[in-house]
Amino acid sequence: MAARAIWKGVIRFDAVEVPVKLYAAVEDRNVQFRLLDEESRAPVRQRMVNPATGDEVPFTETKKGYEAERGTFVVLEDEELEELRPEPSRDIEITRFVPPAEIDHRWYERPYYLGPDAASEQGAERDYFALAEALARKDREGVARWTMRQKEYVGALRPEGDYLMLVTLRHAGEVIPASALEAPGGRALAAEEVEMAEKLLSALEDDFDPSRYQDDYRGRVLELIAAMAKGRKLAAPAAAPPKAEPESLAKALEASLAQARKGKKAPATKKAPAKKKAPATKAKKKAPSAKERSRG
Amino acid sequence: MSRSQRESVPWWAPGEGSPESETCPHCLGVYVYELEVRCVDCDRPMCPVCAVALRRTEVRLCGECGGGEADG
Amino acid sequence: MARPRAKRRAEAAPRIDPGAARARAFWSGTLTFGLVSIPVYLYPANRRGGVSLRMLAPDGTPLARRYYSPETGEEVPFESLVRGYEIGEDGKHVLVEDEELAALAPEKSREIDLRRFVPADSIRPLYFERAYFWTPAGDSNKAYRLLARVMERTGRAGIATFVMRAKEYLIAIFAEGGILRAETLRFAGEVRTPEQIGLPEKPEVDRHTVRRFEKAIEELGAEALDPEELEDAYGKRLERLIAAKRKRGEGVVEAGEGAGAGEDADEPVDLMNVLKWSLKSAEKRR
Repeated sequence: MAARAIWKGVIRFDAVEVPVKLYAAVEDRNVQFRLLDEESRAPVRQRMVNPATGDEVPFTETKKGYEAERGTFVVLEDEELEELRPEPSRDIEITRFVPPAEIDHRWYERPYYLGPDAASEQGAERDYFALAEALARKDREGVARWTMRQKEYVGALRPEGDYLMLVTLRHAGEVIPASALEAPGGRALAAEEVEMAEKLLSALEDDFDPSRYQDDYRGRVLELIAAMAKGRKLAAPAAAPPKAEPESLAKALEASLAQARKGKKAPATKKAPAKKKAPATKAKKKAPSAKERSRG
Repeated sequence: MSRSQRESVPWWAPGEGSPESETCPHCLGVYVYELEVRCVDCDRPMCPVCAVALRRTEVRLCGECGGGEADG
Repeated sequence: MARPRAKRRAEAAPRIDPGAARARAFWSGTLTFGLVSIPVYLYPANRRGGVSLRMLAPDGTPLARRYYSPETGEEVPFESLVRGYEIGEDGKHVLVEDEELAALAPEKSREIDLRRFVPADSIRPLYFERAYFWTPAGDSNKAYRLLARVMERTGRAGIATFVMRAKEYLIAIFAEGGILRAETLRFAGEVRTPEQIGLPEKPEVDRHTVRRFEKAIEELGAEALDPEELEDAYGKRLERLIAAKRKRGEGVVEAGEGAGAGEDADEPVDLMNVLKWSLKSAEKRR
């Protein structure tokens, strides 16, 4: 059940030319939302109207404009906007290669897989895998520019296992770094509190295993929709019992540490349905997770 | 209709959100990220209203994704 | 580092309306680790760049957006817009209220339980989706500062899930510069594998080709990015076009003050100011 390629291009830098196909790497799992008319329950359509006269202007006749000041618009003609568009091209131009740490993941926007475009020429498939290997061995990411459907993109070309990926990057100014902000201040933290908090953190340390987490909520939404479709109501899940409010931060830390230590001896009894295992249990049960996954 | 004219506007209502909301490239409508729909053929985003409109006309996005492999 | 913090007026919090600032928060609730509760607000950490355009009539009049029922052609007023989901293929929909959706996950909608802390650099970059900053709510920011301090010291990220806007999110929480940040992660099922896409398995590759490619990579090596490469080239060209037309007085239409009130009548406060205010807002009280 192969995916269909979104686009075809050629990676180019120096004398290197590798034809590739682009595929979406993200599987959209959102439950499709619709804006409905309350009366008819039909999904609404939209139209643009002149607010003064109420006359509709069909989308094909509208123009785009920029509000320079309140009430003042600069109209942009279709031809003018056309002229701003980039020239069509199949090139994925790599301008430089940098260490992966140079492109922080905060700049990553949307990932795409690249696959070999074997149909284009002899040896293209081997070249593709050779490039992926070379990139992996050099531990570098390429800064890539390309144009797809009249839109310019900038991205990172990176190795992923045996394969290549292209991840689009956000534009300059779109990422607010923590360094641009000043941290909240206040009275100095007590050394004992810091120590207890560190101990508590240690008790909760674990490895990151993405397969442990599933989107349970999505399943519940689908159940709700199915029940509503049949005219049934779903029983609301029981609300969690209120937590006892600890008197102070220090007491809360102490009690948490005690609880965490108890958790190391026996499986923790958590109030919420626990798909996550208690941090200290040694047997990491992967099998149930796989079953859950196939349901979703 | 401006936001101030409507009491307790739901977060999913069109035109809602903030400057951090998305703008639909097709209709310039403002919508929140959670409602975004992606074209199955070209992966470009669209707002939920356009998702219905475009599907009804059997066209995926701006008439550009007619099917088959892309011509850029 | 237990030095007492000097009371310096490095940067006074900007003056903004607290209500407006809180309205910009995507979420508010409590971060918990163990029995420690940290009331927080959640704000976006990414900004939208580019130029915002409006739909105009051919004569430049700004247009308003109206919704209509496709069956009757009649306008559907804003108040009559409801949320629903499709059932089956025959165009039937069910109406779902916000409360019904919220009731599906009461334990996850207001409280985020940090039960696991993983090495911050152990999460593959392509899992990351969007970033948000946490700011302290409530009367005291002590618990916030404490969590930020120990997370930064130990180089760990907290992993948790929560429900926001009718969607479940898996997040990694980082501390940097004393500020807590959440980054949503894609679930494992949301990221395709090469097998699912149908990519071929790796064949034997020619060692000379690999070596040739490695050399070419070296030739183009650089230690850092060039910030210009991340510029929105199209956005810049558009800005220049707009500026040029304004200067020439070309295509400029005075639609009047009233017409300017578009989809968003109130001028929003700059996100940076909102963040700066919100980070400081729990400082004075204790």
